[in-house]
This record gives sequence, C-alpha cells and structure tokens, in this order.
Amino acid sequence: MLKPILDTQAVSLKTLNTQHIMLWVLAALLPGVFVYAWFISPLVFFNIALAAVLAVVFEALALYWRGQAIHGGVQDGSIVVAAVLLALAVPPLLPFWQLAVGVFIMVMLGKQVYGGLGNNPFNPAMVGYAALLVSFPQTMTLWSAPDLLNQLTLGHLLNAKLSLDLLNPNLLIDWDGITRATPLEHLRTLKMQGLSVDQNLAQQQFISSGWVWTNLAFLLGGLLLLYRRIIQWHIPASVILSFALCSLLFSAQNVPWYLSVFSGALMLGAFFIATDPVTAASSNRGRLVFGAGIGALCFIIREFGGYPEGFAFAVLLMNLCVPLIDHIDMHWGTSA
Amino acid sequence: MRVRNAWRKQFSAEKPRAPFSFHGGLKLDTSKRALTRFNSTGIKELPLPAKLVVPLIDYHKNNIEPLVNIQQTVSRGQIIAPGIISPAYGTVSVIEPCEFIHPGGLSVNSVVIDTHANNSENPPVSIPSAKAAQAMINSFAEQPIETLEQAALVGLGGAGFPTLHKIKSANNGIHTLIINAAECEPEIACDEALMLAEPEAIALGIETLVQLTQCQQCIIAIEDSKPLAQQQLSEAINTFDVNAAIMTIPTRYPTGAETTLIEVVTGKRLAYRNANSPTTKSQTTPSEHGIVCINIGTAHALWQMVERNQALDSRVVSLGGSNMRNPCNVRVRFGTPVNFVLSATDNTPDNAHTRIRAGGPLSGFDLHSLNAPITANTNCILAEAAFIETPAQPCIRCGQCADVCPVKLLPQQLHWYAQSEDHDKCAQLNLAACIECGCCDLVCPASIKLTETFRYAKSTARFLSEQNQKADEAEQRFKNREERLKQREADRKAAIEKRKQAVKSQDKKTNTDRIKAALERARTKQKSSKD
Repeated sequence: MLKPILDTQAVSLKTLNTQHIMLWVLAALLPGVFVYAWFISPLVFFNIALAAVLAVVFEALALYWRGQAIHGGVQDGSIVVAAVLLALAVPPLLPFWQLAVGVFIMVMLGKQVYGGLGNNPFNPAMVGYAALLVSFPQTMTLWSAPDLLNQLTLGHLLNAKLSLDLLNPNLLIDWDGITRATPLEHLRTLKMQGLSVDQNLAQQQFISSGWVWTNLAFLLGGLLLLYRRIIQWHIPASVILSFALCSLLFSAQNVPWYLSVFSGALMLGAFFIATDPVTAASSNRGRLVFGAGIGALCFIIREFGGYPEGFAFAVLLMNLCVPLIDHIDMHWGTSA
Repeated sequence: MRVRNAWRKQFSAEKPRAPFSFHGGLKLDTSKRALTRFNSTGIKELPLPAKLVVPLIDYHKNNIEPLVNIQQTVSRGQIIAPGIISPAYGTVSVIEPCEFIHPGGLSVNSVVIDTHANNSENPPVSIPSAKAAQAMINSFAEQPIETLEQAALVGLGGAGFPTLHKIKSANNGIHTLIINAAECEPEIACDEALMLAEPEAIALGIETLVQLTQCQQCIIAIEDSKPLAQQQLSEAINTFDVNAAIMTIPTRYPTGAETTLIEVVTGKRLAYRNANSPTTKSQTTPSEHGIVCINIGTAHALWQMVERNQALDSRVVSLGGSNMRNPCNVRVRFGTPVNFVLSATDNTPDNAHTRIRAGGPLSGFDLHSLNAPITANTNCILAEAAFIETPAQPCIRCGQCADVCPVKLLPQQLHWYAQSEDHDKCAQLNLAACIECGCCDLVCPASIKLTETFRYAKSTARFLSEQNQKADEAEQRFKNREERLKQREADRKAAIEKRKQAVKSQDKKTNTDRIKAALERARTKQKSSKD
C-alpha cells in the first residue's frame, strides 16, 4: 500500500496542471493568430498545422529513442506550443521542407538532447528559428505583402510553398511583385543607404502593414495569460519597458518609440516566448533582469546588428545568462 | 493589581488591531469538512482501554530512559521518564519497542501499562467564581515556574514542543503571548470543539499563562471561519476579566503554523542568525524575540493543572475524513491505540482500501499500524479513500511554488538541489526554514512531491551535520591528545635537561669546592710543614 505524506486528494483546491497551462497559452495565442492571418497571410494556418503535427511526431520519435513513456511526454502539450510559436515567427511563405527542418532542430537540438521538458537551457522555438535564419537567409526574409496578394489565389501560393524551390522560375510567380519588406526591413534598408525617414510616412507604413494590429492582438492574449496568472508580469513588463526606453533614448531612426514597441515580434516575444518558464530566470528579481536584457539586446540587434529583427537572438543570449543571473540572485539573498 | 488594571484599561481602549498578512498561502475549501457538520455533538469522552502504550521519546525524537520497572504500580500523573507521565493508574507490564505514530512506521522503546479497573473517571472541569479563580491563579503563579514540570505540558498544536522550555528560553522576558486558536487545515476541528465546549476553562488557562509569563500583551488569534467559537470564548474572557484581546484572522492555510501566525499577529518575520554564512545560518526562535506562541489546548490543560493538579494526560482528537463513518471529536487518554479509538466510536474501517492517517490532510501521513498510540501530537485521525497516485512530470519552473510559499523560499530551486543532494546549496536557500506546509505540492502543475523531498533532504542534512560534528569532535579530541602527548614529552625532556643542568652545576660547584678544599689542605700542610 502506498503511504503518501501529503494527501492532495483530501484537500479540495482547483489547480492547473502542465497540460492546462499549455492549453491556456494556445488559447491566448488565438487572437494574435487570427489577426496575423487577416493582415499578413492566411498561410500561417497551414504553417501552424504542419509544425504542430511534425513536432508531435518528432517528439514521440525522440521519446521512443530515449526509452521514455511516449504518451506522458507528448500529452503535456509543451511541444505544440513551441511549434505554434515557431510557425508564427517564420515568414508565411517559407517552403514546407524548410519549416520541417526547423521543427526537427527545435525538437531534437532545442529540447530532447538536453533531456526533454524542463531541462533545456534554450527556448526550443527560438533555437529552431535561429537555425532557419542562418541556414536559409533568403527565404526567411521573404515576407509577402498582403494587399498585393490579390493577384494570386491562395492555392497558387500553397502550390509554391509545397515546391522545393520557392524561387524556381517555373512557378511563374513574380516575387518582386507580391513581396515587400516588412517595415523593419524597410527602415533598415533606408538607413543603410544613408537616407532619413519621414516620420509621418513611417507611421503610416507601420500602421498600414498590419504589424501593429497583430502586435496589439498578441498583447491582448498576453494580458489574458496575466489575468489567468499563467505568467507573471515581470518578464513582459521589463522586456517592453527596456526596449521602449532604449528606443526612446538611443534610436537614430525617426520612428516614435510607441510604434517600434508594436513592431516586429515584440509583443509575441515579450508575452509568449520570453516568458517560457523553463528557460527564464527563477526568481522575480532575476526575471526583471532577464526581461530587461532581452529588451535591450533586441533593440541593439535591430539598430546595429545584421538582422532586421533580433528577438530570437536576444532571447537565446539571455537564456545563456540565466544560470549566472540565478547564481548572483541567490548570493544576494532569496527574497522573491 | 492596580497597575495591571490601569494597563488593562489602556489596552482595551485601543482599537483591536487589524491582522497583518503573510506571503503566499492558500485559501482551501473548508465547506466539505466533515467536522463542521458534526461539531454540535460536542466532545465525546472515550473509555479507558485495558492497555496504554507510552513511547519513551522526547520532542527531538531521541530515546529517553524509563524511571520505572516492570511490574511496578504507577499512579496517574506519576513521572515515568524525564518529561513523561503515566496517563493512568495501573501496572507496568512490559517495557519494549512498540510502534508509534511515525511516517516511516518505526518502533520505539515504550512503557506498556495495564490499567486498573478502579480508575477514577475524568470529572468535568469545574468552573469557580471569578474571584475564586483569580485567587487560585494568583497562588499558582506565585509558585516557582519549575512546578510546571509536573504538568508535563507540551504544545498540543501538533509539534509537541515542551511549553515550560518555551517560556524559560525567553531570556529577555516575554512581551507578546500569542494564543493559537487558528486551525487552518481542513478536517482538524479539535480546538474549535474545545472552544465551544469549555470556553471558561480556556479563558482561565489563558489568564494563568498571562500571569506566569508576565507578558505585556496577550493576543488570541482565531480564524474568521469560527464565529461561534469566537463568541463563546469572548464571553468567557469578559466574565473572568482576562487580560487578552481576541484577533480575528483570515482563514488562509497555513496561518496556524507558528512562524506564519507570528507574522500575521505582529507583522514580524523571524530573522535569520548569521545570515551571511550559509553553513551556520539558522532561524531565530520566537522566544529570542520575546514572543511565545501557545496552543489553546495547552491553555486548557494548564487550567486543569491549576484547578485539580492534573497533569496533561489526554487531548481532544478530531476523527474526520471522507471515509469516517461517524466524524466526531473525542477526548483520548495518551497511550490509547488508534484502533481502540476507532472501534470505540464505531469507525473501524470496513474495507481494506481505507487509509487511516494521523494529522491533517496536509501535515499528516498514513499510518503503518493501527496499534500506534495517540500522543500529544496527534490532533487528528483521518479515514480516506484509496490513494490514486499522479505520476510526477518534469518541473517547468513555472514558479507557482514560490508564489505560495509562506516562508518565501524558492521550492523549485530547492527541489533541484535536494534531488542532487547538494546540501550546501540547500542550506544557502534556507531549506531549514521550510515549515513543510505542503502548499507547493498542492499548486505544482507537474504534481511533484516537493515536501517529501524536503523532509528527506532536511533529515539527511541533519544526519550529515551530526556526523560532521562528531567527526569534528573526534578530530579535536585527537588533536588535543597529540598536543597533550607532545607537551608531556616536552615536559619530560625539559625535566631531564633541568636535572642534567642541576647535576652539572652541582658538579662544577663541588669540583671547585674540592679544588678549593684541596688547595686549602695543601696550604695548611705547607704551613704546618713550614711551621
């Protein structure tokens, strides 16, 4: 007979388990996903479905190789959340096999090699994203312009997506005609040409591109998570504040800070990626430092780095610092 | 008395202060509590069993030597081992290892007493008039505090710390006396039942404590879920003009734990001693801060001592849980086996799947044997359905455990280090301050058994530190011996040297003397020959 010390059954208390937490995160992503599909590209649904299915398959495979219980490992849903985040981070037109490579790297090198859930030092979705960005720089920066898509049917694009080479001339797609740089890339190009940006024009472009609305929708989902106490305020607040402060003080571009905060992947990252508890600092004080580091690094990469969006690298770099942050925090006392 | 009265006026004129809050904790659902529905039945008196088993252990779970022999007749209240009294009149039949209430089902050397048939019944506590009571208390308080030793008073909250030790260890006096009437765990209702049944005895016990400790203020902390008990007690306090104020505190687990209750009542967190050194860091005791926290059941037992010189030999036990047929509160003589308690209340488990637990659902544990006897620590016996184990999933470091921890620890970090047996890191993270309330286990989304790991890590750390201490002592002994031997050798050498020197100098002296004498002789000879 089992002799439990703590009789959790005898106490009535509503608590969440890991699976519930992951389901809540997925639910909170929904508004952002729909706005993204509306403004940027409906292909994101295809990407999400593909990534999720592949992630579960790879996860099951890895668990089988590791001799672990497959059902127990997959059902917590954490890998589905990571897959959805990766699918949201990549451009919608990314060829399917490249996405598959990204998912494979995410599951295997981002998570399972370290021993599965709870043991990975880096955010798996961002590991997958970073691997894709350095491996396929051309397609990873190919963003379709939603208002120009009318010329082509969705089936046409899906067909292109399923082909092995996106830039194959046989596809008869004029890529220059239907793609456009994201506002961030646009700004970057202008800056590299030494041109200054008119503030009004930049604002218009930011708002019309739909990225602001997408970010607002992710913010809404993030607030839902905060309200449900799935995440704490420390990381999102410090990410956004430190990013806003940096762009307010140091930005050479003519974009007001309140717009740059709603650009790129900042809201998605601040509420859904940086808050991954496994790879974040463990105390509240540590989380503030962790978030502030991400915000600052993200700004530095956007402003001075080689990539238009630097959230993934900012998260990975701060993941590296987590053991140090935790260590210093512990020596300063343990007040949470 | 006049000074005290003046102070009393000032005290009562003060508005009752609002309770402070504490970090974390949980609001548990107490609506399904079996005993709230049955509290109207009062406290049942249990008959005396034919055999009582008294474990010979002290608060630190160390064995103690008995002061009685086999076949010796013992009277009720007779001291049978240091700090332990016989709960009834009877004969010691055997002294042997018996099972006691322990999570590991261990046995400990125990005195088994065959009770005699003509044992006196437990008469109900008589309540004198206010004046007579005051006189009794005054004369009791004038005696030296050591007379309390006969009462064998220990805390009845669950830990069983000796009360006399608590009072005596407050070297700088006691300014705040906290009476703990907060039962935060669902299913435990023994204190509530006592407050409803005998509020006058409790009030008089509290007054005795106030006089004994000479405290500046006395606060009775009662949870807001027991309005009836609070009303009863407050009436009794007014009747006997007791120098105590009642504070209603919110029902939030674990307010009843000593450290959290002190924080709720005084707003003070017990500081750490040597906070900068991980190896010698430890939590200060309430007594060092002039605070003493005493359970309401202990106050009741003290009044029994004052009124009829009766030592603490019984307590109220709550019988609850989902599978308990007749939930009730019973007064049980110490040493009564659990199965006797269950059969006497018609609660013998009817199927093998029922688990019998000692202590509440959070602080308690499953019993290995129903022969284990009730002691002062047993506040509750639960009958629960078979246990379905949820397998633990990996920790995702969500931090909910840290949010609910009432002593502000980082349970997930502690769990990490406790699993890898890194005791230094655990000490650094204040593992010793863990009160084992189980809040972290309840909220953990991965159903990790954190408290169990901490209990194990704590006992391992204690064992290791004891070993280290022993090794240090042995090393010191060895060093001292080496030192002693060296000193002895040096002393011996010095003595030899000294003697040699002495001989040498003596020799020198005698030589010159001899030469002198010889010269003298020669001179005299010469002189005499010349002459």
